[in-house]
Amino acid sequence: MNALAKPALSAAHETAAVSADRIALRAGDFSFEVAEVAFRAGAWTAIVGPNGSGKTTLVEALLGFRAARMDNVRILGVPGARFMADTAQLRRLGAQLQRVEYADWLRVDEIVDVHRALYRRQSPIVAGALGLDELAKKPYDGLSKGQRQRLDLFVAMAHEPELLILDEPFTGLDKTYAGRVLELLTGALRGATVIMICHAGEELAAASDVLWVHQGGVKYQGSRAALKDRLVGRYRTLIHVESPAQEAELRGRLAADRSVLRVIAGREPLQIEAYGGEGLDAVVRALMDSAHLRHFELAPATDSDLLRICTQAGAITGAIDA
Amino acid sequence: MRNVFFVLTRNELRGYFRRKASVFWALIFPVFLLTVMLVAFGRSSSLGQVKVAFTGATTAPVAQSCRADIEAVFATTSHVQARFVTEAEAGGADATDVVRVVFPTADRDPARIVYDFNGGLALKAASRVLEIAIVRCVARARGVPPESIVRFEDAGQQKAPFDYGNFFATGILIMAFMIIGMNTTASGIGTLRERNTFKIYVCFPVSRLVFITSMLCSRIVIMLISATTLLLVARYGFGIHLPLFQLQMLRALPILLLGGAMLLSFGTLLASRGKSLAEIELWDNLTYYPLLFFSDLTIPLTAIPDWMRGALKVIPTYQFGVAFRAVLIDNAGYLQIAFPLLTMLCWTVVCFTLGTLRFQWTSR
Repeated sequence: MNALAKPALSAAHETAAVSADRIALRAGDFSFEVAEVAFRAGAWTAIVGPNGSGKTTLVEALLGFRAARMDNVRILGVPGARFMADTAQLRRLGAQLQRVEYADWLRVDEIVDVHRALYRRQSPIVAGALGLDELAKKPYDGLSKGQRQRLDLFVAMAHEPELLILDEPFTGLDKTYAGRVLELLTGALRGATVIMICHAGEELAAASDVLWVHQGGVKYQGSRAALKDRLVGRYRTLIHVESPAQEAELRGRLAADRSVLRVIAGREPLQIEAYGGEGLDAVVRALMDSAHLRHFELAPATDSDLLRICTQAGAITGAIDA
Repeated sequence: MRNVFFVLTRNELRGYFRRKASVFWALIFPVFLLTVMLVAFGRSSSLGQVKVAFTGATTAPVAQSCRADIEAVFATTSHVQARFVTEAEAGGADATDVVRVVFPTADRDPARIVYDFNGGLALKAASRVLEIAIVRCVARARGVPPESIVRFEDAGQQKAPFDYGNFFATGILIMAFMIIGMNTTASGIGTLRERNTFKIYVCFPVSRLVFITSMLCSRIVIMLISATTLLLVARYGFGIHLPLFQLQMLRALPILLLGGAMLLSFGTLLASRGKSLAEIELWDNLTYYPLLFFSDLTIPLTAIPDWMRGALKVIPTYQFGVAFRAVLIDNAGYLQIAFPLLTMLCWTVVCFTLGTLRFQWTSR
């Protein structure tokens, strides 16, 4: 656990919507262990990390889907196991999980009927935003990936739960529906605790907190803004170099500068990405003259940049230990 | 909660009837199999019909008397039928479906029964009937009343004569219950687990038992529809004598329900922990086929060894068949089938308890 995140986490633990003192599990050659985890009540926490790092594992362990050793799990103030076994408590939960499919032979309106019978209320705003009416008579096996995602999100959100657990909620959605879901989360469902596994910068941008999962553990938990300041700062530059030798030289010089927070390889060969604060512009301009740079780009650092750093295995050790 | 149960059960039923394969196995296949079995084996327990031709000294008084006796015997014998033909109608000497009775010209010479020793069961059975009839007839002619030597007595007066129609209709009905209760339940649960549907169900505010119960109850309804279809077709399509609108049927209904519950519990247990549909189907097949073949459902277990006959007593589907046929066909009382009922009840309780206790909602 990041030392920087610990004081804030301990304070948040008292008012957490979901918390656990310890989670440890092993499945084959994969293991996951975290000493303490807490999701602030009323906050929107994005869980980020590389593929296979344990994001879904963490969420599924908290919900009791995975055999794990866990201490003092609490969900909305109730011990986790009791929460998941108590139908009255479960009305407070909405979940959209990955790789969950209903039976092919069901129609959408029949799944909606089940939801109505279960929760006895359905928000017309949620139904309208997700365009459920146009799907109603369709068979489940006739739905596209995006339509299935809309149905899953409806099932998770239509009863306006206190706690929403979303696993990549925007996957498969077009821009229109992704925007509508964001509007729902910041509008009709404002006040709910949202725990969301995310893989897109737009999703991360809406979150107030971040839980960064890496290599079977939690690397950071706390404010998104603080993590962003720490990892990518305010600016990002993309430098195009002409040779590997020049790349090595420039990476060394950039890393040595105090205003540069991070230097990583670009998406293409012979590219360098650097992140930093106000001084980054001056550093790059100086390199233009001294290192004969011909081409570079400078732009504000975004949440997509933050997400990229968090999901790049190679950058992680440097990121936190720096 | 009732509303949730109703909606889940309704959805399950709708889904069942939307799947063509499910409809085929529950409704069409039993009728198809009944048709095939009746075509192959006939309605009655008869081994079939053979030609019987009388030759030799057929005009002798003894021959005349014996012929009348033989015709009378075949008229009351149910396990093999005879069609009496002339020598010309019997075909040549190499005809294999004929038994020839050759009456002797001399009194002290034996009558001969000529048939293909490697022929079918009907031929062999008919030759034995002829042998007994001729011995009795000759004995009477020689002044020895055959009844003073040996006679037959019916030890099973309470039971209706064995009828393949009844046997197949009831056996196939239980087989259809096995398909619905074991196969579709196990594969249904396996599919839901493999598709992670149970994960979202676990997050729903309803007892998990409600999901399982709705799935099982919908299948009970399907079983009853399947049974009704099959029995109506058997009764009115094939003219099989089944007491559908008599008290016997009403008394057989609880046995059907218990048998259905037992098979559903079996299916639930089979699927309780399987990680994948393929694994569950393997266990299902390993269970289903031995039960099908060793339960006296569609293949009569007439030649089963004695040591195996004892083992049948614990086979749940065998006892289901025994109890159901005893009440429906033989009009037995519940006390007479106490052991089969107890066996079925034990299997139901054990399977349901183990199935629910071991039930795994997610592939952990």
